[in-house]
Amino acid sequence: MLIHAVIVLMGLVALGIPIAAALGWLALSLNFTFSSSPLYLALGDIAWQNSTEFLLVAIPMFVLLGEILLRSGIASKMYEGMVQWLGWLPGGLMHSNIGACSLFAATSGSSVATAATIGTVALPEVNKRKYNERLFLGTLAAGGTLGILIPPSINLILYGLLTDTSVPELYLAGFLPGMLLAGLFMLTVIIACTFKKSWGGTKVEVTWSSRIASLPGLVPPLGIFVVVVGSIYAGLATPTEAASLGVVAAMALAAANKSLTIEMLKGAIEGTMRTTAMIMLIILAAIFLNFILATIGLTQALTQFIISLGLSPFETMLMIIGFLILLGCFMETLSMLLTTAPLLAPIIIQLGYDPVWFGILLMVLLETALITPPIGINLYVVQGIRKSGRLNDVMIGTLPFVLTMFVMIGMLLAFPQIALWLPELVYSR
Amino acid sequence: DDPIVIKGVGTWGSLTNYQKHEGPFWNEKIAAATNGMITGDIKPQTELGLKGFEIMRLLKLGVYDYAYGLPGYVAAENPVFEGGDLSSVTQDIATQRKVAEAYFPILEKAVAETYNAKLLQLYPFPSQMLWCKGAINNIGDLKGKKIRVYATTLGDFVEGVGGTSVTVPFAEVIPALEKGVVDCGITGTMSAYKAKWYQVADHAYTMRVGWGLAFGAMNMDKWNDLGAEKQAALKTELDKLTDAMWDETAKEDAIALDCLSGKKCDIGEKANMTLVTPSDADLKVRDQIASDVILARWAERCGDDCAKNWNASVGTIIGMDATKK
Amino acid sequence: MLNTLLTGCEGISKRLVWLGGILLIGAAFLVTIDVFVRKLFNISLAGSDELSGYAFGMSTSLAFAYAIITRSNIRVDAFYHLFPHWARIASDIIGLALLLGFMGLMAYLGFNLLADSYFHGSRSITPLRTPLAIPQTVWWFGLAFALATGGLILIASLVAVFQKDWTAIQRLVGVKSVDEQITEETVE
Ligand code: NA
Ligand code: NA
Repeated sequence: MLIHAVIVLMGLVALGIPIAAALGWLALSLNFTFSSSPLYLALGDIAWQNSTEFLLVAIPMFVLLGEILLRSGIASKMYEGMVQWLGWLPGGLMHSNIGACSLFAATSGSSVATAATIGTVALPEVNKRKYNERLFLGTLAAGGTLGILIPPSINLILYGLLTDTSVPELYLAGFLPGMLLAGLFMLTVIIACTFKKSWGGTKVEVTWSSRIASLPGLVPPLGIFVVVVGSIYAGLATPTEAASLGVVAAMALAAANKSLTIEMLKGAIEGTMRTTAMIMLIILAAIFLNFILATIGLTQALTQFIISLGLSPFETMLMIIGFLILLGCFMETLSMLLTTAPLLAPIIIQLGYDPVWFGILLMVLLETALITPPIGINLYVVQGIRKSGRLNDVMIGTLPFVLTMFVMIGMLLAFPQIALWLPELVYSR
Repeated sequence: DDPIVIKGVGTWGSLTNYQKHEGPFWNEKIAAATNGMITGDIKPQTELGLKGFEIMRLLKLGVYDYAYGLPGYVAAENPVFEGGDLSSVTQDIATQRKVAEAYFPILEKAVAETYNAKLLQLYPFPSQMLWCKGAINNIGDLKGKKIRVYATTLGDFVEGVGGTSVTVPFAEVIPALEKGVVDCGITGTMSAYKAKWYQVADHAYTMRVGWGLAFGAMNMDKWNDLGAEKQAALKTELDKLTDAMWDETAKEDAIALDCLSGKKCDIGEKANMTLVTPSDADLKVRDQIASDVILARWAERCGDDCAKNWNASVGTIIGMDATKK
Repeated sequence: MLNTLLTGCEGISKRLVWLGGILLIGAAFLVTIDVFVRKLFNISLAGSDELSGYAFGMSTSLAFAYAIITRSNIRVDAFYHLFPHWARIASDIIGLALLLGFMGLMAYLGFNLLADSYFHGSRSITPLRTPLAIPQTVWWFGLAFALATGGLILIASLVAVFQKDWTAIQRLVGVKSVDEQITEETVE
């Protein structure tokens, strides 16, 4: 059963079949091979129920929010601000890239949106200032992944939905690891550029007055963060409602920036809906696949198999991490989250691990998957924004940051409190 | 006669009704009781990632042969399904059982007509109460409160007491309570304990605003395929199961309330909630609300025939009348 | 003839996307208003969550056709670029056919759901008691329109195979080139 599933899925995916169709047809083939019941008849109901699921409304809202920030010029002003404040470090603008990604991540729920937005505003700088192009591209692809770890996060909302874990607790838990990972990325750049000075490019000349002048550019994204995340902890809104507040706030900011035009909105809507439609088709297919997997008993079979190995909880955890890193090389992140979270969450809870902590660990693994070749969406995004050159440059430039992610995974294993301290403090769990 | 396999879907995998009854009955006991003539295979809806609303349609489509669910929750098709569990009209489990039995034939007919299914069981979940952050001493204190509900009839109750009904997904109730998005939430006693609502809610107002009355039903074609002998054998075993479920739930309420109030607790950590029992005066107010709002609105949306059937069955047991105002 | 139809579909699909976007922005404002009046006046517009769920479902399905026309399906192209020319075309066309097949099953079963909701007069169990057939009709229409559009594209690309018009196939169903993606992200 497991082998059938793996072969069909990998085969269809490798042949370039759209992911949604691959997941859907895998589900159908499993139904006809391993069950005598017409399980596929549930597809209509499953599709409708999940198409209108309130918790998923956050997806288009976050995408729309990001589109508005990009198209209204707010994102590029924020980047200029980051250049002023972080450009002096060894590695110059590469730190601004990571800083801008972190700040944008604090307003956006998606890693792809983060990499695309910051990439678009940052890439023109690479040739101007003679950076090591590969490492520069790496900071964008890797920094962009922070979008799903630093709250708000579509993926954390989905994880919460799939595993019945509290989204506010997950958001709190993601905050410190997100900052820490951003710090580790910057440390990686510093080490690389101290080791090889020419990689750091020409220095950015800044003065304190130009720094002060750049501050207003940093305020809008912070404002959105306060609205989207602050409103949850201030008792104004649930995490899903907060995403809607963010859209309204972004529109207000764009209006204040005098860039809220019908044309801009049309563009933002087209971009948002194109992305959302494709993501939702994958989500619907993945949820349908999960339903079939659970009904034919593959889920339990896998759990039983892992328990029957008789490994200690820690060894099992290491095995799961290894498996996810490997899977992450080949699988698209969203599909990976949707297919693995419902399978793994019961296992790790049974082993005695905290589901909130595992949610954060899983986010870091998904971030890793976003930048590991051959299939790493953020690699493609950054390559896509670049006008020339080979995908290899992005892959090689991102490699040091993949190693940094492994360090982060090790730290989460060794010190679970990095994730759990804040939620325990706030919710006195 | 060939042995027959029945594929089912149960309620919440984390709660006793599934863990002790629905699951073991179908996965083990029925095969033993019928010498292997009937075997079952059931999984809880939570494990299958279903939301509940789709379950009756899946039974009708033949995706499942046997399904468990809450009629007011899964059967959006017709207000008649709400009639066995209208908010706050019964306060003790013995009466609720009589209500369920009196309403059984009406539901049986509706289930057959709407879903092509044979109704075989009606059983309760632990009773539904109000869990609040902040003191509630009597029914009057609910006025002006924002209260999380999950069904129309519960919304009618909340509006009847002068509160505001808010719909929040189950997973978001704790943060919503904590931050004051809602002041109170309605759910069952054991769910409130297991989902740790006591971490944020400090007062329990123990008026029974609902029972979470659930049903078990079988796809009609599958039922007819069984033949008279297997039908009879299955019915006998299911009736025993139903009895056991009523007995168990009666005990579960007490266990959950003891744990929540910190009196004693063998199933986990003790909580520290204040239990507020409704006074006679509160119940008088409730009578008024039930007849003016809850029953009146239900009679309105259900129609004259539906209300008449209810008055002739449930109404005579609890001495109330559903009339639209 | 085929081209006229396709151009027509493209125009309609864009308008459907704008309509969906308006629904979504409307939902964002409705939720925002709900959050504020709930905090300030302690009243709830009961159901803003439910309504935004419907807005979400409707806008998503109204955008399916546009996503297919703009070839936005997420595909793994790592191996695709190594394929010989004929295999890429096969992958493009079979991929679209499989996608349409899956969506077709969804639409067929979705129609059963819609018909049941309509004939039984199903309503949501929330205080809003929404007649479910209304949002389900819009949702189903989006799916059906996407299927029709996708079907036309499939026919057009099969015709192009017989005419050996390889550029047309690339334009209809091929994996997007980097240049096309840049144009999309920066110009529009
Ligand atoms: Na984020
Ligand atoms: Na990868």
